[in-house]
Formats: sequence, structure tokens, C-alpha cells
Amino acid sequence: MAPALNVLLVCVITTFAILTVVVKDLIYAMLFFALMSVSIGGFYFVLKAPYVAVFQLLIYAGAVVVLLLVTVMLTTKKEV
Amino acid sequence: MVFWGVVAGVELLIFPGLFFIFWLALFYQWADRKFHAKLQTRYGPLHIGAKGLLQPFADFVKLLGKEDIVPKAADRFLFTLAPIMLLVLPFTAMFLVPTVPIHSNVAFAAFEGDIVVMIFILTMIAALKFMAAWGSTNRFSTVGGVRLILQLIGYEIPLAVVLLSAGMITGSLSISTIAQRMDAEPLKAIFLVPGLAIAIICFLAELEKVPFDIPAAEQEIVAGWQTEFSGRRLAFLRLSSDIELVLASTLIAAVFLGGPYGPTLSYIPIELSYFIWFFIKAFVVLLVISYMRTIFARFRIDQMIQFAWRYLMVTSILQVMLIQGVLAAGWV
Repeated sequence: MAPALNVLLVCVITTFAILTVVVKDLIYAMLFFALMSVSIGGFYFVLKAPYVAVFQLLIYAGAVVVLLLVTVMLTTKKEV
Repeated sequence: MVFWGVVAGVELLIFPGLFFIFWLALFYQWADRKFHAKLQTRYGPLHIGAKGLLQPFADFVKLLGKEDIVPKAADRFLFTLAPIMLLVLPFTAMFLVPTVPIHSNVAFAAFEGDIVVMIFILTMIAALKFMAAWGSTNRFSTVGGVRLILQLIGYEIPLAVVLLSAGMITGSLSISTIAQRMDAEPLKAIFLVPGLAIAIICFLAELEKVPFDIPAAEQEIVAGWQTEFSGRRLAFLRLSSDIELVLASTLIAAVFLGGPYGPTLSYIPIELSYFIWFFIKAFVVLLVISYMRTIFARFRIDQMIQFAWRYLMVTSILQVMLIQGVLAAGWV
């Protein structure tokens, strides 16, 4: 049971990580980064390390995303 | 086995679950509006249902039937994702808080570490609101979203610190366990009174209630980050903010006041006692939030950030030091 889930999660994490780097729009890059961090949290949870998982969620998917949001906020947007 | 499956399904969908939370959210909106109006010597909702009780539901249905407009320049994906996720996240968070536990005496989805997940969800809600604002590409929305994130970096850290300080004094990171231990030893709750005050102030900012309704300041920037939303999407956003109100009052009641646990009488069933305590405590917190939003006027964003970093932050660190001192002295 565990190996199949592990492989699936690794694929999901890798996909989101690549998307984070490839996507042009900053806000989408951040969205994918947040999703990647949540998936890594899930991975830790599967590996039976719940504390690492919840703190991964808090620090990376929470705090770091907010700091990145503040940075995105300071950029200028393309006029439409 | 099948029986407990059915019980869990009922718990998820009907009683402390989705149906109950939906109606509780509408009731809280009514209570908030009515109390706010009474303090300003107005009548508040009056016509639909007894004393206007069904007015929030009528507003919800009316918005569902209105035209759903997506601006040409908006980012369609973010514009659709935000209202859905903003409805899903507070609902999810509600299952981590003990409201009226039926077949076990903890919250539906309780596990060790869920208070950290709760803090994460509260942050994600604000981040999604920013994405909604950014996705709608309106000037007012963008300004609102920027203010929202600035406000977030002000109140997020003190809120996390005081919620975790409740975990420190009770020796647990699960909201249900914190509530149970707080009920077993009420002395612990007394040392957390500064934390309770900070948490209420931070939740005023999270809920965008009046002293901190800077992201949606209606005299300045129309409706702030939700300017472009209409129809179904706006109905979802309104409902989501009501559920956030329920979440805030329930979470504060659970972490600082012992939640649904309290003195029980032998002739009333334990579930009814849970319900009564939960209702009383959460409702008192709701009235405090409602009172605060009546007596204050709006801060400017720079005043809010200065207040948060100068006073809230320092007080929350002092709260942690107090708790460490109390634990080291062995008073609790």
C-alpha cells in the first residue's frame, strides 16, 4: 500500500515543483509552490512523521507563501 | 461497523457537520447584525421570519439568483477557484474544532497537531483572498488585496504565538485535548487571559471587522478585494465570511475557554450538555466581537501595522514568557 502512495506523491510533488519554476505568472508560481509544500506535508504524513508534516504546512505552505505574496505585491502588473 | 459508518456520515453531513454549520453561520450573521444594530439604536433585520431571523438566508438565496458577471480582464481560473476554496477551507477547519462531539468526545477530525493545521488554514484563507483580489484585476480589488496581505503579516504571528502558548500550558497540540485539559484545570485558563485578548483582536483583523476592516474599507475602496464579485460567487464569499465568524468564536471558545466541555448535571445527557456549553461560550465570544466592532472606528493600514508589531507582538511574547515561568515554577 505504502509504495504506490509514495510513488504517486513523489510524482505530484515533482510535477508541482516543475510547474512552480516553469510558469510565467508569479501568482500561479506561488499557487503551485503552496500546493507542492502541501503535498510534501502529505508525504511526511504518509511516512508517519505527523509533527514534521504539520510544521511543514505551517512554515512552508503558510509563512513562506505569505512572504512571497508580500514580494509579489510589490511587483507591478501588466496594464490591460 | 456499518452503524458507526452511518453515525460518522450523519455527523459529517448533518448534525455538527455541514448542514448545522450552514444554519449556525446564518444565525450568527443575524445575531451579529441584530446586536450591532441594537447598540446603535437601530432595529436591524426585521421582516423575514420571526424578528428577521431568516433575513440572512433570504439574502443568500437572492444573491444565488443574481447574474454572475466575470470581468473581461479577470483571470477566470483564480476568479472561480477563490470563492470555492474560500468556502471549503473554513468548513474543513470547523471539523478540527470540538463543537458538539457525538460518538467520541473529541472533534470530528481531531488528531495531535491539528492546531498547527488550523493556523495554516487561517493563513491560507487570507492568501486566497489576495489571489481573488489579484485575479479580478480591478484597481480597488488590488488595493484591497495589498492591504489584506499587509494586515496579515501584522496579525498572523501574534495569533499563532498565543494559540501555541495555549498548547504549551496544556502540553498538547490538539484543540480537543487543549479544551479538555482547560476544563479539567481552570487555573490554566486564568494565565491565558492576555492571550485571549490578543486572539480576539487578531480575529477581528482576520474577519475584517471594524477596527481592522481596512481591506474592505467601503468609504475608500468600494468593497475592497471583493469588488468585482457578484451573483453566486458573492453569495459564496458572504457565506464563507459567516462561517469564518463561527470558526473564530468556536476556536476561541475551545482554546481559551474550554469549548463544549464543562460542568455536567447527571440528569441531562452528555451530548446536550456539550451543546449548551458550546452554544453559551461561542455566543459570548461572538457578542464580544460584535461589541468591539461597534465601539471602534477604522484604523489606517500603517496604524494597524504599527499597533500589531509594537504592542500585539510584544504582548504575545510576554504571554509565552509568563507561561514558561508558570510552568517552571510548577504552579499549574
